[in-house]
Amino acid sequence: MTAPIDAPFPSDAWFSELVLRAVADQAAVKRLGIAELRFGIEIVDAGEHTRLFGLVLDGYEVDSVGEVAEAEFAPEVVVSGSIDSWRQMVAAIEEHGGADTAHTLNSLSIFGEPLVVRADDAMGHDKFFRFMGTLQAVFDAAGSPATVLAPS
Amino acid sequence: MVASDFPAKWLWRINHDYVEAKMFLCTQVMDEARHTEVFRKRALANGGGLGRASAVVERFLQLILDAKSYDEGSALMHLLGEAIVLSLFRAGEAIAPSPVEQQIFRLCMQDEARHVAYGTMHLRYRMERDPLMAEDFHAYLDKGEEIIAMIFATPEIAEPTAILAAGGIEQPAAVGAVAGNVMRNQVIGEYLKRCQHAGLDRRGRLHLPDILLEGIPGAKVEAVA
Repeated sequence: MTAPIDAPFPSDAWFSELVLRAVADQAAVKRLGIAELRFGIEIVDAGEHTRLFGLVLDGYEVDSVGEVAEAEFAPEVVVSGSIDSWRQMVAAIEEHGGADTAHTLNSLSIFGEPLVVRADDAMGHDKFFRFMGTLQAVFDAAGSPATVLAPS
Repeated sequence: MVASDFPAKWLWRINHDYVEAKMFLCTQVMDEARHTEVFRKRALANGGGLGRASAVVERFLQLILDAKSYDEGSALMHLLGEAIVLSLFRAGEAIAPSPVEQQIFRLCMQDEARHVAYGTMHLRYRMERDPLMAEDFHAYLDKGEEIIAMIFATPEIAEPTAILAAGGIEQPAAVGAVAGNVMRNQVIGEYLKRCQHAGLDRRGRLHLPDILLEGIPGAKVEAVA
């Protein structure tokens, strides 16, 4: 178990620290395989105000580009949900050292609630599934960076 | 195993000028071998053993294996068959009872999504270079969809889908049925979008019963089921 990220969620600092943790174990990152994706995380607050944070997967590299304007960042796929939903996911990851079954990106989005997956085209949408392992490992790093896909 | 038998059947017939496509198909053979190994072991490990495929599933698999052209088999397998399997893997990951099973489904989901994406791009490549092939592809998918409609109703697909989607057998059957319908709608909706992305608009040609198209935007109105 690792201490929670010492930055408010959501913020540029939180996502930067998340990525630093996720790529700390380069061997684990390479076990995930190469990925190529511009991924948007959309967070909707109680006043329906939305904020978008960007992650870029490029080969074995993962970069956080912080808060972005959607038109400029041009994400291939966006996962959107309320601030409460995202905070519950992060809290579960921190509690369990990684997402439990009920709080993976896939399980939270499979029925279109509480998270929604949206993309301009089918290929972008399918990239969410193609790189699910890498994306989940990145988010799981909020709870346990040393065991990102390490053999159990 | 058909998902590895099909590319293996066609690999040696594809000209080496298409080396990237051949190499990708090699990786698919390997992916599917891994899936067979891991799911066979998992099925045997839980004491339930291996089941039997129904006639309608076997008929769909036969369509793929007996396809007269690679285009036909690829459309049936990559676009239709593997899209359904991708959804089943998503459901498996979402309710996996252990981290090991969750990892199995997540990694297999990635593989399956790669195959579906390849099939979509193969179709798009063919359509861009020879738009006159549209009618051929429509005919392949007409055949496949008629069987897929029956597959959605077979117990070995419908029951596990409902149970997986509802979150277990403890849930009321009605919840499972509704959740299963949502998943089926996702499969059909995503399939339509992939076809559209490839340049083949199936919205007016779907060979699926109206009842399967309820709640799928744009699917039912123009359908000719």
